[in-house]
Amino acid sequence: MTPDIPKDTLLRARMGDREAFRTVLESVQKLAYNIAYRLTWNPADAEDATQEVFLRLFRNFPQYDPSQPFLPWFRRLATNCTLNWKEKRRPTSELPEQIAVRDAAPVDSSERLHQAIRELPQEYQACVTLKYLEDLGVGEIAQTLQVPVGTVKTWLFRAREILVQKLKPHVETLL
Amino acid sequence: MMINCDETRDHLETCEDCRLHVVVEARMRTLPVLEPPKGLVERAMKALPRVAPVKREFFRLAAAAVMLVGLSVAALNSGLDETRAVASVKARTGQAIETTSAMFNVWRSELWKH
Repeated sequence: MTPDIPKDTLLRARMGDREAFRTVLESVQKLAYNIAYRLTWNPADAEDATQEVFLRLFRNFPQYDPSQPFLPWFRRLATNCTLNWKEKRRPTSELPEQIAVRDAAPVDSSERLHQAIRELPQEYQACVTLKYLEDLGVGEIAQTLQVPVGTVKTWLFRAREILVQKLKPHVETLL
Repeated sequence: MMINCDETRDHLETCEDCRLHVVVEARMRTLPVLEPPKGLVERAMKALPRVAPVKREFFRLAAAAVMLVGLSVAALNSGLDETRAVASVKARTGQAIETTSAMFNVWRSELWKH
């Protein structure tokens, strides 16, 4: 999903070069937006959260160690920043029409699946997003979320169990 | 424990729970990857602070250094702690300032000549 970013672009962006920073944003925007979307399940919120991620990247770029790969570092920043954003915005985030959409009965199997994921606890959602969007292994997910590998395994197992239980009555529509 | 595909298939034929696990897992892998909205990067670039963090850090350090030197000179000149050591540092600092200022004056007058 994310193309490789040349090392010198990363170094220039880290030193505050705006054009290099723009190139970095163009490379990572799809990843950042999809992480944000799968943690907020709302296009407007996903866009706001992505903007916050970009601002955080700008501020924290000097902390990036250029001897390490950039993407895992960015993925961690994007996931944590989106989760923090969501946590802060939770009480006022949803407009009445968004709540109506959220609480409406899902019409097709995709929506059913989306709703089931949306209802998972936040940390489970983050695990599921990193596993199925980015196809990361448990080790990489653990690094991204800064939790032990065992915890990630437990969260993934429980998330799948919850999803299966929620979707069980609609199994024929999933096939 | 199942060891080959046939056994796995046979098990899936009969076990609804495992079949559902497989279906959910497969559906999760096919969730669509969305395109970000147009102009997202442009809007983000406009919202960035004008000064880059590295430069801001430099200005902060420079300001801190100037304040530190200022406070040290003020402390030396205040005469609150007039021990022999302080008096000697004070004299040397004064000498250094005079020498620097003399050098600067010479350099400035040379510059005006040309």
